[in-house]
Amino acid sequence: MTAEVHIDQVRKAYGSRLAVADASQSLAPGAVTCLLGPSGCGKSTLLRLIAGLERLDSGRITMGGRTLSGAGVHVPVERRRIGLVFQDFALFPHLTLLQNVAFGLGGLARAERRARALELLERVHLADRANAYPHVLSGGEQQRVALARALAPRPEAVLLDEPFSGLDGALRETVRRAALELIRETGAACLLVTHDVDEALMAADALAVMHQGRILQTGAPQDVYQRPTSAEAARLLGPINLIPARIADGVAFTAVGEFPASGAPAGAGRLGVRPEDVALTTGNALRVRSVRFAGGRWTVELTGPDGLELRASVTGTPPREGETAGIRLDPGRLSVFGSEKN
Amino acid sequence: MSLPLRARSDRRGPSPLAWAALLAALVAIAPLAAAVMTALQPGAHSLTAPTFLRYAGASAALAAMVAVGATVLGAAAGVLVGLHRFPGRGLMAWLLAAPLAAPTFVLAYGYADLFDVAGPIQSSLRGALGVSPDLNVRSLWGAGLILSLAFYPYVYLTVRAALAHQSASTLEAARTLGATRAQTLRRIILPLLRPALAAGAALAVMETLADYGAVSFLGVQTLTTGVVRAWSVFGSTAEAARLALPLVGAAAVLLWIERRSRQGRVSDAARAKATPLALEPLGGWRGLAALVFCVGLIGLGLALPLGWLAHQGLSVEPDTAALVRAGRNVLILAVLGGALTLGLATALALGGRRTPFLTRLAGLGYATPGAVMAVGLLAPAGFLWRGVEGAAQGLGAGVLLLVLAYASRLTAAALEPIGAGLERVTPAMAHAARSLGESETGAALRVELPMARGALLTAALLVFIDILKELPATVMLRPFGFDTLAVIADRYAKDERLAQAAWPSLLIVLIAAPVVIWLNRQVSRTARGVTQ
Repeated sequence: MTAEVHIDQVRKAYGSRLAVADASQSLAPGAVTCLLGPSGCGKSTLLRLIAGLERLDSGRITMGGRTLSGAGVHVPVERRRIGLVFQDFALFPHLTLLQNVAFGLGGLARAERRARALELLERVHLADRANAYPHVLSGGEQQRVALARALAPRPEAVLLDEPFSGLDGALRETVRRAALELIRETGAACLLVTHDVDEALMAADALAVMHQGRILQTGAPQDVYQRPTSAEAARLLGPINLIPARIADGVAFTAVGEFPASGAPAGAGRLGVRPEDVALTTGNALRVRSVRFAGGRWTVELTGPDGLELRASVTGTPPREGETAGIRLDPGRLSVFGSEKN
Repeated sequence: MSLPLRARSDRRGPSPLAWAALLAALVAIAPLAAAVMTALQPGAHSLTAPTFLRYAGASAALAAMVAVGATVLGAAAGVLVGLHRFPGRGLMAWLLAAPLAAPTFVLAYGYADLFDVAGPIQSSLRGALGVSPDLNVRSLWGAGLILSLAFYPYVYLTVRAALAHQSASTLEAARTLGATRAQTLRRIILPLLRPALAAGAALAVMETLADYGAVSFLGVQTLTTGVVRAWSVFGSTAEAARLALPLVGAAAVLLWIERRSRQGRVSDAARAKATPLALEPLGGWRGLAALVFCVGLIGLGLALPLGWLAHQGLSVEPDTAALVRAGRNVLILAVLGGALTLGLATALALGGRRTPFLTRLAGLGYATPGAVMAVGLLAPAGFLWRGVEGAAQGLGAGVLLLVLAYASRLTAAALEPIGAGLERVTPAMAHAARSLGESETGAALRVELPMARGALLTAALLVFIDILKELPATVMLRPFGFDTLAVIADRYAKDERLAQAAWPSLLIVLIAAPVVIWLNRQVSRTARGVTQ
């Protein structure tokens, strides 16, 4: 019931297009791993490979030490004990909620099946509508039934493919919190695929960032956000300033000053800093090009020497357009990347 | 320059489009109403209850046989092609609809001759076994089998369309919940296909009840053959109309089943995120078996009877002059009938959007057998012709009646693609035209119809094929000596000159087959979301 899922060097191509390129990732039991990436980055393909809906080209997927895919093995979907929640929920329209949830409980006796399905519907607060059909439910309710259905057979892992993207606003967050709480309680390993950065940062116990078929970085959400290992990973999690730098003896020399860069390889590089980690000071190194109100904060665009463009997100009284300004960067919030070519 | 805006009167009556739609619906329903009224008129009853029950019983039995036969064959073919990959699948996918190109009487001629006592099958069986088994297809059973083979494409096509609207994730969800492929088929796919199967079966039964050519040739006495017989042998429109009455009732019920089965498809299709179903590869002997099944179905439904008929036809010299004349006649009818039908259907599609009742009326016309339409037109026509000196002798009057009968019957068939084509034109486009100063009619003519021209072509071709194959209404209403290909085929066949009947029959199939195949490919392309 609590098994770790290992994805090891998994590769999948459709014709000449590489959808998943040697991706490796572990899914810990009882934890939510978020796979974040733009649409078409291969995250859904990876999910389908784990579920067994697609066959991989190379690599291996194991669960609790048992090989599911790879090395000549392909355990059929229906024997994997992996629950799946789809973006469109995929409820069976011709079955009641109870029948939907009981669908995967074929091995149990009739009474047990009913009891287990009702128990799950109870958990998602829909037991009183057990005999209703899916089309009368709201989107949030359908989502809850889909989750109850996936959890009913006590899967060892649960995969969620953008399960909240069909819901809007406040509802979305409530439904998500309740859903993930329920999954964590079951102790199953959970993979949540999403393209929504806020969702990934808020929901994840572990975050994996995917781009063009590759998993760029894995770690705690806060670490990945604040200490991205590449400019691509940094960009996927939100806007970031990239300041050209020359690095020597653990110091980064830039057009706007010198910053510590211990451990970074010498030579050309880039300094990455999030807009909210840029503090404005009095000075004349930069000029304020525009100031826009962004709800509680101000977004300030600055131009500097050598065509440098910077963005700062500040609170308090903003500068005025046309004024000059200086910046101060928190050394603890700086990332050093290689230059654009590599 | 500021002109005062002239406000239109607030009392907005129906637009010209709405009036046109009403008129179209009335034209479509008029013959039907006339038939019912004729039937209900008091008069001498030559029709006895036992005769009536015998006809009705045969119709019901035949309908039941075809409902089962066509559904089983069509569903198997639809699920096979819609969900699996096997050698030759692409070709089979559209060839499976090809039997729709052949009028049923063509199949009946072919099979009747093949299974004749002197035919090749009985002869070789006698040679091999020394006994002569009773394999007479000129029977209720034979008609049931032949019509099942002729009409399975209706079920096949509705099943394909329904599968195209299913999201892959529904089936994948079942698999992740532990269902095997076979269990998924039984517990998910077939229940989800139930509405499509009902709709397809309803269409097949409609056609079965309406069939005249095959059924009369095979000597089965149904209500529809009774209608034609009552009129042609006994010259009684009233009796024909009374026989037609249960057919109208059945048509209404079938139409209701067919329409109801389609509800809910909209909500499925509206889910934009639905991913198309992945095809399950069938390797080795399974793939071969799938191919054999499809080839067998096409062979029995079209190639075998048609091939045998062609073989027979080649042994005689065709009456080329008669064929050319009949071809020209049916072309005239198709152009006139097609133009009227398309006009009515377009009016209904544009003007009837807010009044679904009108389109349902037209639908009833489609469900009604052509023979009944003819009866409905004969009664008022007879009254009219008697008033106008010499009108009955004129060619124009008969052609007009025929064209009206076709339009009444086929308006709903043409409405279907036109309505679907217009649905793809978003309301915003018409609104844009209105905001730029066009009237509702103007917006329809300048924006909506040009955008739906592909659908208009589809509708025109559908009507063309139906007129080409039409037999009972043409037999009853045509001006004296004005034969179509179907009519001369029917006459030759009833004179037991099958080899001669082969020529017009084959001509019909040769003209219709490419059109049917093209239409089917269009349909499967739009099902996949590729427009135009």
